[in-house]
Amino acid sequence: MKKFKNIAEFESALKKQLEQHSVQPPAHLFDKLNLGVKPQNIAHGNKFIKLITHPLTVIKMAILAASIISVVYFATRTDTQIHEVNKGKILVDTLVEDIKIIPISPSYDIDQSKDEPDLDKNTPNLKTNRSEETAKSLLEKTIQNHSIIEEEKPPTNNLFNSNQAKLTVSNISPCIGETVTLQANMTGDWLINNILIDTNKKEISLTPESNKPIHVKFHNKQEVISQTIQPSITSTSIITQKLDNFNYQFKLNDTNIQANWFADNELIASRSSDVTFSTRTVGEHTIKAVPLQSCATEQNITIRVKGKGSIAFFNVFTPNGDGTNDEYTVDIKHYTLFDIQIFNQLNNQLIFTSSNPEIKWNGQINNDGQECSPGEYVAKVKYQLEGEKPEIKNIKFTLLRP
Amino acid sequence: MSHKLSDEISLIKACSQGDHTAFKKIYNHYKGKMFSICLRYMNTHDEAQDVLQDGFIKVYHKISTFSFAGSFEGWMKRIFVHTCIEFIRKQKQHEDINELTEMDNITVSEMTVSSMDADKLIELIKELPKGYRTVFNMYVIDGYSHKQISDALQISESTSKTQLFKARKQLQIWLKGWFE
Repeated sequence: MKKFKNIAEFESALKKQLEQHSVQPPAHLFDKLNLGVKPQNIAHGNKFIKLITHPLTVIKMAILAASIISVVYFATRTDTQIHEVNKGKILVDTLVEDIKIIPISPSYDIDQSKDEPDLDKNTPNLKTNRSEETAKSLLEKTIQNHSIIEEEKPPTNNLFNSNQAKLTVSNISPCIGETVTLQANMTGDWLINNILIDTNKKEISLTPESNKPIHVKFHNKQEVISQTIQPSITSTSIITQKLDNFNYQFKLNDTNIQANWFADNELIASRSSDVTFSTRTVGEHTIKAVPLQSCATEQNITIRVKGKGSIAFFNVFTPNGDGTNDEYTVDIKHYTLFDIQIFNQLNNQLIFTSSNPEIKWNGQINNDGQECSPGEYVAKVKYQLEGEKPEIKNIKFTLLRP
Repeated sequence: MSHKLSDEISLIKACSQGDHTAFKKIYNHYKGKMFSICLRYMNTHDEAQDVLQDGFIKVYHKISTFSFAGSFEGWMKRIFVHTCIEFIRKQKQHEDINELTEMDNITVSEMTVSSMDADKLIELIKELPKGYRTVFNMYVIDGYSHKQISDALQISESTSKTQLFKARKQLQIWLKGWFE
């Protein structure tokens, strides 16, 4: 026979064959179609005939029949023949007149001493040859025409109960991220969550990424072993307590767990279930707890420290001695740095400087008697609010003298 | 059996009027091919007969909906494949869905099939574990896509692909000597 290049070529040949293939169903079947009644009522009514249907059985029967033909000369027409075949039973109806059925042992012959099953040796002896085929077709014909044959299969585990595959698992409940190794005592295919991962291997390893159970299956030609890996997880969480704007306390919900604590990636405490964190820096801070127990996962929490400081500028002032807006004021609170320079916008002349927001410009050059004319002035203000970055702002404002 | 049923159109029309004789002609013409399909999908001869009956009853009741657009045989084949799948799904409900049950029954054998003999090949396909076999049948022989398979069997497309992969692998093991 011509050999196939690959499975695809085989498949297309197979398809061609099977599309045109036809098998005649038992002749009486049409009469059993009750076309007027719901299908379900008829579908299972056909218990009249029991056939040998499993292909293995058919071949076994064929072998058997072949031996009969050679051994027993069937001139002797007997009535009912009932034989026990091992644990299975074959009952032959009285109608079978032409054939005698003699018991055979199942032809499985499994080499149980070897760890790795060898296909050729472990293969049930199913080779068919010409005479078997003839016998088979004869047998099938006979069966189709007359017989009622029931067969009980011996439980399959009797065939394979030793030489069993065994799995060894390094850790059945690993932590997330911890690698687990599964070993079998023979090679086979490995499936993880029903997806084929590896074939013909004795060992695989896997690393859980979440706490979802992982279903591992190992199968060789005879058996399947399932193993579920349940990654364990210790649920930890950080409880935050705000003491005041710049002081926080963090603790783990499970005080039995110790952790190393980091604030903005700097270690702030070690081997502790809680930590106090103080900062003067406004903005976001990331607090990280790295638990020392293996399965507890790293926890992160972000806090946002709000600044207390504020600053407000005004764009007009009227130094006329009326008690309101007589000085140019910058309203600043909670600051760490303040510096103001006031320029005349016309000629860029520096008119006033101060590092104290309480010392304000009164409209005179250096607050020293010589009054400045109305017009546009610019205040250059350097400042830093508590916990925040230093800033420089240029504020344009108008001096009015009504 | 590849010849066309003579006067198929009028038989179909008569059949949709409830003409049993016409239906018997259709039955007799197609029973072999349809039984072959049933045998491929089902575990046992018995089951295949049951499904064959179910299928023909469906054909009888649905024949009035046949639109003459495609081939009648193709239309029938789809009915039979679906009937098989329905049957398999019903069985599955009673089984532990754990595939273990399915896998336990793998018979280890190097099938000695010496030629492209359809009967032997069907036997071979039937030796595949049920899950593999259904997908293999649908995809390779009956030309369904993975999407259609996943809808019909209510499995994911990736499961369908995996099953096909495993079926092919198993066949290649069984038919070792068949490949270059």
